[in-house]
Amino acid sequence: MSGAGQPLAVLVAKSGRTPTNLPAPPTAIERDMLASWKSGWLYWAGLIVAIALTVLGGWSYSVMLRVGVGITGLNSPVMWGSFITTFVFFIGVSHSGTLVSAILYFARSPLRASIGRSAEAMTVIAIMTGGLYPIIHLGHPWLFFWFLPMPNQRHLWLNFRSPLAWDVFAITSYVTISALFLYMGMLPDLALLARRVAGWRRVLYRVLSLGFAGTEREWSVYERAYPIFAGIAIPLAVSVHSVVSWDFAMGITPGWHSTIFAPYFVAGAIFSGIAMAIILLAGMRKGFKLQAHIRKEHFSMLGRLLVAMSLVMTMVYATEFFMAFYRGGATERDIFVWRISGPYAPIFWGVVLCNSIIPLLCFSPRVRHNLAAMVTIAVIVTVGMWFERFIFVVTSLAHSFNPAAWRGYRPTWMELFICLGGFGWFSTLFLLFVKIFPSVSVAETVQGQMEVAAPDDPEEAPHAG
Amino acid sequence: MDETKSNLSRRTFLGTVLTGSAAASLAGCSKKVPRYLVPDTIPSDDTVPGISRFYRTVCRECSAACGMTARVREGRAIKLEGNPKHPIGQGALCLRGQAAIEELYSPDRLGQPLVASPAGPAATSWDKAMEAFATGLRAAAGAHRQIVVLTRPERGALGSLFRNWLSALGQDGRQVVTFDAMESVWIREGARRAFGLDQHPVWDIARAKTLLSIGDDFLEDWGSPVEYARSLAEMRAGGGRCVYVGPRLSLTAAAADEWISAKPGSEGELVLGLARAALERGGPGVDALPSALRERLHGVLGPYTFARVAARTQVPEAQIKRLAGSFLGGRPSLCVGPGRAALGSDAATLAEAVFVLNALAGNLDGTVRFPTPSDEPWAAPSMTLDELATRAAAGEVGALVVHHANPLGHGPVFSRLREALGHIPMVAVLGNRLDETAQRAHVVLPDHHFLEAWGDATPRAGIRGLQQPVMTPVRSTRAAGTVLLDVARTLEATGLPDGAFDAVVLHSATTEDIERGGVFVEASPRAVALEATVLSRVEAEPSSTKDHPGALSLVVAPSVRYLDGLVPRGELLQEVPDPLTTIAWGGWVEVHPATAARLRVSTGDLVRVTTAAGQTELPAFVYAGVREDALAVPVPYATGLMGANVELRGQLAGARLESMGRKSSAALTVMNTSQHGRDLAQEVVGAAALPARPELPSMYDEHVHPVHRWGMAIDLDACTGCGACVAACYVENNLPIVGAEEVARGRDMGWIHIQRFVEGPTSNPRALFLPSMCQHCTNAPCETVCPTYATYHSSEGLNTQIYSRCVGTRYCENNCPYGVRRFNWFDWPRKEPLNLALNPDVTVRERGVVEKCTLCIQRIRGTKEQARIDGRVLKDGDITPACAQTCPSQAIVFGDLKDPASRVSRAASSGRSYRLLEELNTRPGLVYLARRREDVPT
Repeated sequence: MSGAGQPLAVLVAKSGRTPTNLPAPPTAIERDMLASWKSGWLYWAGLIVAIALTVLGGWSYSVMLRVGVGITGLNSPVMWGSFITTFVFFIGVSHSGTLVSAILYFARSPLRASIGRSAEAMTVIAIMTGGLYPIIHLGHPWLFFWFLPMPNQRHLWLNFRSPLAWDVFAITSYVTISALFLYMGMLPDLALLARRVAGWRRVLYRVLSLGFAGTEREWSVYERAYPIFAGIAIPLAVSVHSVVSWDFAMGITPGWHSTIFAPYFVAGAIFSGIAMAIILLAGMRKGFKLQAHIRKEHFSMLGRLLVAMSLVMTMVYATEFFMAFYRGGATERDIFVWRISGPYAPIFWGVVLCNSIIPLLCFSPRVRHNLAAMVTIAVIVTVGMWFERFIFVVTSLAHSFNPAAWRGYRPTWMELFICLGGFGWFSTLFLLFVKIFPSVSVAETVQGQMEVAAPDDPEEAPHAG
Repeated sequence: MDETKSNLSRRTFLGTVLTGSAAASLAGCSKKVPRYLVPDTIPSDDTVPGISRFYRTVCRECSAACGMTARVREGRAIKLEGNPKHPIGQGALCLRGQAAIEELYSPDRLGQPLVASPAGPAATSWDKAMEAFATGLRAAAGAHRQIVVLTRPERGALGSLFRNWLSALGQDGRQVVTFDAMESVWIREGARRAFGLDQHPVWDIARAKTLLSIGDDFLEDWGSPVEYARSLAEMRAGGGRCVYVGPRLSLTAAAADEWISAKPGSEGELVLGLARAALERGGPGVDALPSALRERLHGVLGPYTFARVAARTQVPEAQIKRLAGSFLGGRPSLCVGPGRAALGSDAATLAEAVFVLNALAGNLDGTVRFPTPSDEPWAAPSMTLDELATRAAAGEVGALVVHHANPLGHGPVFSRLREALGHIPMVAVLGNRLDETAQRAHVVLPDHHFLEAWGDATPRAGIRGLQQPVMTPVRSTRAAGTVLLDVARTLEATGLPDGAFDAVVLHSATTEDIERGGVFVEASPRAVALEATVLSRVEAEPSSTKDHPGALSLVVAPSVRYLDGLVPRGELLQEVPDPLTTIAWGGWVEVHPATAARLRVSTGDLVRVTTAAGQTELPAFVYAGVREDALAVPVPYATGLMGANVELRGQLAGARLESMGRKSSAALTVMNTSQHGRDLAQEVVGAAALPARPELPSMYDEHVHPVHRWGMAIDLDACTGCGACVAACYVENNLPIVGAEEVARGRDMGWIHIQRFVEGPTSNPRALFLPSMCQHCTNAPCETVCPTYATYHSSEGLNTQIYSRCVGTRYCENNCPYGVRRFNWFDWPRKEPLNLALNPDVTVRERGVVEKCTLCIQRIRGTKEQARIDGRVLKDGDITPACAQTCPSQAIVFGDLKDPASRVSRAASSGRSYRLLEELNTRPGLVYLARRREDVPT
């Protein structure tokens, strides 16, 4: 460690961070981080499966581009289906990352050091995935840039009354701020690890660290700037999903046209985002041997959040039904009755089981501390949330105002392949991210370890393995 | 440096380069330039590219022979409309007439002559085919065997030519067999028995106060559907009422004010019961009877009391009394029929009873007329199909010339003829398709399509429609009349006119006649009186009322799309859904809900229908509009169930139904029969008006319509659901045919959908039709959600769709409460040469964009431009969209809602007017007039 009076030493004393411009012995987290990059067969198998799914989706999409959107199961009147479902799903998944990370930052929560980085990465990657689907879904996807407000020779501006135009702004803002937030948080780690690694990572980290040296001035600027990003990210996270919900709520389609949609979507997004975070963290903990840093108590905390959000979702479902009957419109009432009793009823009740009933198990501390159980519940919630979006997108369109236009919808295999491709693309990007970048915040862990008492679980003691 | 400087100045250089590249590009172009941009149908200085020409002709799709106007652009017919000067259609065409353009360009139409070979019909040249034809005829004449012509009804120059041609070849001119599977032979037989006349009467529906149809589906059964639909609308608008008696709620029954579902086979009882009431009531019809006949009729009709009729028909006595009161109360009334749906075994006796009822009710010379018959050669007596089969089997027939007739297409129905054909050494077919009969021919000589040929058609005495070619033939075909004249010259027959058949037609027509589309003089009616022996064959206990325990009656339903019930040929006719079941492509069997519940069958299930003659597998359609003890199958799909039913009678006893236990792939376009109280298709009782609705406030700025606000009014009281508008829209707006599979997936591209709702109790249902297209809302929900302004509100009130701006988010369709927008899921290529039928004024949409009804914006713009060029002000009625133009019952009116005097504004201010889903405040430009219904106690 550096001597007193030097700027870096002050910083170390103040924040517990290791100055990066000094050769110091690697801390435990640094060693674990470096070790995590030596991946086992599980990682490579996962990556191959993810890439294979991406290729399958890409091939299916290439067929759709050549032949037409007709290879899907969409029809009149169900013009939106599994692509829009997948879009809403991934935008939902994106939610928890930046939002949770920013909230934890302001709460000065120790949880953040372990899960913040991967949650933020999940956000950026989920938007990169979800954002593709409205374009994939278009009849003329090659003209997607017409959604952007660009001066053009056609003298056409986009229609600012259309919620789809709002989407473009909401999503691009959110992905910009989330990416900056992720990058900013990673800056000290990149600077630090650039000294610990060799090869291409060293070059990459040196370039990306933008010359961050860990001086006092740098740290003070950093500490002032970081909360600004976090502060912008929180309302933006709420707004982006509200705007996505308006794609539906601003339409007059019964079953969509409801003021509850914005909070409903935000709650659903947090819910699905937490579930996805549990799955990813569990994978990292297992695959990268990060048991010391991603601990069971973290899962327990996520479990509490999960059950809280599940209760919110149940409340939302109940409110939707109440409003459908309270409002007095036969059309909307018919849709909700049809939703719970018609041909899509098994999916609806499955969604209720997945989202409202099974997560209640998380009330039990035993379940919350059982990693396998938590991952199972998270997978169930993830599936449940995809189908929840499917149900409200499809049933509302299929049973709208004009009974003569009613018709069901069933996705085709090609369509499902394109949706699976999204999951492959998401997983591929995430697996590449954790391989290339530090997936747990080194700087914050060091800081955190100086504040937090020794862990209660011997297995989770540093370097237990 | 100076030495290196070239003499080439900048100007010269540029000039050389430009000339060179221009020459190169011109050279490149020249190979692609088609040699003939404009076909030489008409002198080229007469054809202005971009300007349509209109030619009057006659529709030959069915024997009604409506007048037709063909719109020709750049030498190609692209759209068919009615001829307003022709008394039959009066400017309208039916669904089939609209679809005739498809047959003109159909890739499946015969394009060159064929001769029989061991491997099947083989293509050959015209010279060789004509030689084979002449050889066959010469052999027949040499062997002293007969030459017979088998033709569809040809009442005109061609019909006369057949007879003259036979005479010229030394044959008997009466050796002409007229074949029309849809001909109501029993009505002629009934007329013969009742009045001693072998003639079909003219029904004057428009003048009747009460119209009673005895199973006569006159809107579908191809007597003259356009004329009858117009007359029915006129009659009902004038306060008349229509009552339909039959086992099925057909289109005609749905258009009627009351449907009486008498027990199949008991219709005769009802007619005779009414005749008894008429006789007892007296009146001019009864007074005109000789007293002996009156006494006899009292005796014959005496047993048919209302109580007996009620018991036999299973119709409540009060309903029958009400019918008698209405039918006999206001003259003139009219009883039409019997139609196929009422035909059990004894068709002619039922027809006779209908004539007696009309005579007793005093309708002769009023609504039932027998025009003076023609003395043209074509009206001479001819041979029957049975006679032909007998003579052929005896080896007396040496050659058979078949002209547009396909009796073998009816499967086992005309099986006698199928065997007889084998005994004829020369069968020559003059037709358009390689159909079942043509496949058995020795030589096939393809005829022109009727839009390519001269001809004439006389649907009834006094009306001679002239048929003229509107374009050069698409294929290597020859006019049938010319072929006959040519072959006669080869055989050195004398006494026939020189030259081609054209001259024969034109011989008796002036230029004015051709421009008018024909010569129209209504023939004067003949005085007729009942024969003394009338009703002598009535059986007290008709055999057809005998019950087959456990079995159902099969109703063979006529189809508004399929004419004579041959397996349909055009794709458009199959793509446009059947109005009642909304099934496109393929058949179905209608099952009553109670029967369906008993047999555990639901709509879309595959079922097997069995009769004594055979069985067939069809999708089920559960429909309250068919009697509980009956099933209904549309004509083309009942062929295998009918046996040797030469008259194509509509009632067959002893049918059974069983479920196959799996779903079919029926191309159902409307999955739902109820409107779930949404008040889309509204009704008013009697002369009542709809309740007034307050105008709802809007948060949007009002759209300004400075000059026009186009709108449309659709009178549901006049609409019969016939689907002519749908077909007209397909042709006018280049709508693609997507095929059975895609329709079944909900991807049909129709801009108009005839939405059908079945309302009322299962015991007394009513079918309501709602032609549904873009409503051109003022506050259109689709416009606000489109991110690229691909759809917006025009200054004339149209909701426009700009295909090149559409990126295909399909949000507009989701937000359209009417569900009328359509998305191009694929590119829909057209088989050559069907692309020639495309309307050049309308964009052909590419895949990935949304489309919908434009109110025929190309016609609005075209007419406005023309008015501007002519320097006149646009007036109401100048602009007519394709759907309104062709509507047989004139239910659709287009016009300017800003002009308070326009027809559409007047319709909009009617007490029956309403707009769809008014509570959403979309303020549509389309106005519907509610259907009027009677408050009949049930």
